[in-house]
Amino acid sequence: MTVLTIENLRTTLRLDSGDCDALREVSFSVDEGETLAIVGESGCGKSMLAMSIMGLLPSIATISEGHVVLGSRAIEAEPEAAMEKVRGAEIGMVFQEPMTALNPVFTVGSQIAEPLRDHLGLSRAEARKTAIDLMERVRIPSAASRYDSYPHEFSGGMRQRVVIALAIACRPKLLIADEPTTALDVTVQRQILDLLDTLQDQEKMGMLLITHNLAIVAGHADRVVVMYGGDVVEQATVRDLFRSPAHPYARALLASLPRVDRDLSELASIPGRVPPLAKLPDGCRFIDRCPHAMDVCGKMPPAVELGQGTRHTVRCWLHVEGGSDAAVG
Amino acid sequence: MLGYFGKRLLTLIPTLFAVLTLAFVLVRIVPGDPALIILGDQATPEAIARFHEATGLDQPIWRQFLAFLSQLAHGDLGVSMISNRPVLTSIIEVLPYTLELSFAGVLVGVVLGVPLGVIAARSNGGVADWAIRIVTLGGLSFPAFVSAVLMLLVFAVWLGWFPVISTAKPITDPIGRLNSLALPAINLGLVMMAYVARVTRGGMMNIMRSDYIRTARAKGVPARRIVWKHALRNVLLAVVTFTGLYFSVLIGNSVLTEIVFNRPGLGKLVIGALERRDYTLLQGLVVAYAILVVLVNALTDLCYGLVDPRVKTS
Amino acid sequence: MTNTTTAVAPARKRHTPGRAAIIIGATIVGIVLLAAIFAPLIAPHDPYAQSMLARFRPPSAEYWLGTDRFGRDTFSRILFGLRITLWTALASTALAMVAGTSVGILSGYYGGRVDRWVSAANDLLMSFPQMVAGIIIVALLGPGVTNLIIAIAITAFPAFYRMARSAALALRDREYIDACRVLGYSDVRIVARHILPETLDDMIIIATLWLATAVRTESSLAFIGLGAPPPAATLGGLVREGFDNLLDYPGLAIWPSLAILIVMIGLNLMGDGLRDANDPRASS
Repeated sequence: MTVLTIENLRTTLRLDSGDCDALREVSFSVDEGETLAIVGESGCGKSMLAMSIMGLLPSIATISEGHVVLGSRAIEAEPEAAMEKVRGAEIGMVFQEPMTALNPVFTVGSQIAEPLRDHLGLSRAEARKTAIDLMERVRIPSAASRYDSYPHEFSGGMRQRVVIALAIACRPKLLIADEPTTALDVTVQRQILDLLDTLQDQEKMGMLLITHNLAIVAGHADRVVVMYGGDVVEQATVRDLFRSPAHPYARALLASLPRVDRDLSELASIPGRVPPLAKLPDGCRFIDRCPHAMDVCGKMPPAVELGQGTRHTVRCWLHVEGGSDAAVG
Repeated sequence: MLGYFGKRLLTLIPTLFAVLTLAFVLVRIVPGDPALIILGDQATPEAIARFHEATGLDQPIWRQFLAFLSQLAHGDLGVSMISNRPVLTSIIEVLPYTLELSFAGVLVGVVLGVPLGVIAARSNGGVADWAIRIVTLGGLSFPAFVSAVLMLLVFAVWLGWFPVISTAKPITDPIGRLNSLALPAINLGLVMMAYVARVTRGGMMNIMRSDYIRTARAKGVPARRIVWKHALRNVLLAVVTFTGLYFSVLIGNSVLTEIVFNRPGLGKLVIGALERRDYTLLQGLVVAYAILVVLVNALTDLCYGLVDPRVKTS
Repeated sequence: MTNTTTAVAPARKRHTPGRAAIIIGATIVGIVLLAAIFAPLIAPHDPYAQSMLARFRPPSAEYWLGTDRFGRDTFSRILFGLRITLWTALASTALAMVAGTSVGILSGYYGGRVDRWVSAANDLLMSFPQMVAGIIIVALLGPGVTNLIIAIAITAFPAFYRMARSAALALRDREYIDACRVLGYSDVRIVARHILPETLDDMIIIATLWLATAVRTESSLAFIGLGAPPPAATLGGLVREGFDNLLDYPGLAIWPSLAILIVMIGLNLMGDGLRDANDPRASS
């Protein structure tokens, strides 16, 4: 069953220099129990996408086109009051910075209990009991006694467990994890990712895993969406993407990885940089860095499905009308 | 918690000692012999010598200082040069009025200033923000005596809502006492409100951008509660710190307020001591002010410890 | 670096309240300053001339804001009061700025034991209620404009000292200052040519903000009766005289109060504006 469907989403920023699209024609879906990874460099629109889904866009940004469909209900135009009932209840979210993601003046337990009381209407005592159960589930040792501890008494990894506990507290259908392990030590990263996998299995949640780390994609995702400059340039199963990347950007990404666990931030083989928002080209946004740039690339390329039913699509003129992998190489 | 408070008090001892020394020195660098001022120019040398002996002024300065300290240690601030009353008695007599005025002023300032600051931050650049900006600019621009005179004129003289002269009312007449406290406290509070509103607005703007506010929004906390609970609790840390720093300004304003509203208090005592050149009383008042400021600083830390859980363990 | 900035939503276009505030504030201050400077030319009457026939006159064409209990023209007295207020504020702030900046820079630049003692003394001065300190210092020094200026300067000293000291402390260890030392520049030259100019912007902003505080302190002291001695007209003293006749002639207290307010608003607008313009985080 599909948990989340993004249909032709466009998010527009009102800048001093004029409007610009931070996301263009973004479409994908996440199934129950499935992990969809969103990869790309900083500035590719990953976080803007998460905020568009959550309805937490900054005031200068609006969804100008398309739909965010949760289950079977479009939520992109819901008023704030309705979104407050969606966030935390139907969508949980885990953030990058565990050190600052928790309010320093409230106990961790009360922060986990809060959505339980808000969304599930639990009494204070019930919420406390449930919160302790949750803390045990995310493997916080001696959970009952740590309910009344404050965030500063927890390590980074433990705080991220707290954030996860509160994200899954109301058993959401969708979990968005935005760079959940980037700020953590390598050993802790692995524990947190395994924990997310386990919880996802138990809850049958759909998970949107936002990351710039291809190793995490390879180890923990089912399918991948590759983003560049606000466009979904390619989407495929992890296997298909790693075996046969179709978009020049995705190819460069993978080619730049002598080892699979290397960060995209170290990416050196693609010359140039992600263009700044105000100077995004109208057509393909990879045009300035693409070795295969053609005249036609000045126009927005269509999304092309490679092979019937493979769910492997690429947004590139090279693959339009008889274009093949051979033509790219 | 108490241990922390005690430790904090211990660190204040050097400051206190320095202030005491200052009070001692200050009163002794005054040009002119107090004996001449008090006994008059015509005083006989014998009378002057007797006065010096009685007040200890014939002793070497370090002996005077030791005597001063040992007196202090016994809770004795000496005897007024003019009225022969113990200084401590005079101070204790009026201290409640100054304390009640100061704390009422802080209460008014915080209770009005914090919501204004929050509303201004919420409106950020909107009509409410500008209105509050103008109100706080007014608050910052009123010297306490100007606002006091104008308030007295409008609310006591013209409208007659409050007594023109807030004479000392006994504690057994709580309504009369509150009534005479109202205008002076509002006067102190309105000026403080302007500062508190600014501190709150600035803090709020920063905190609303923080990660934990985003977390709260992501878990579906209603906007109202995010502002008034999640963010405000953190802003209060800044407000507490500010209130501690502002207290010495508030004490200064209370002197002027006491004069305008003719209230008894430390401020009026200072002015009286200056007019009559009563240096022992002045010395005692300097000590009293210093202790008051030091205690308020400690109290601020205590409040800070109550609001911020990080203080207890670190 | 540039690619990370694209992920962050750019700040909304700032309307510049700072600039408008500076312009309005500077205009007010400018007008007040001109009025004070040219008071002898503008004032319709001699501010000290008593007239028993014209006591407590209401505002009229001849006496714009009425007269006081000695028949002196209130408007003229306000103009002359502005002179004393502004002169005291400017002189004391300048004094505090020069003294605080130089002691602060030396203290921060050299550090060591002297720095510790001066800083401790400064903290002490800061912790004591400024108004009470002002009252006591003036009372001990005796009345007079010069003593008033010194007293206010002493209460203003800590703000400049602290800012200058921390600036010097921060600059002292910069590479280019080290380079100067390696090149054999004297300390005097390093401080005068490289450290002092760096701190000047901050100092001017604090000075503008402190001008308002100095006006407040001066007028408060004058109100208490510790201002420039009579017969000099001071704004605080005028409010005091009006206050003593509040029940019968409230105007005598209202007009000088408004004059003080106008000066304060002008200075605060200017100071706030300058600070906002220099610190983008401070304003919306």
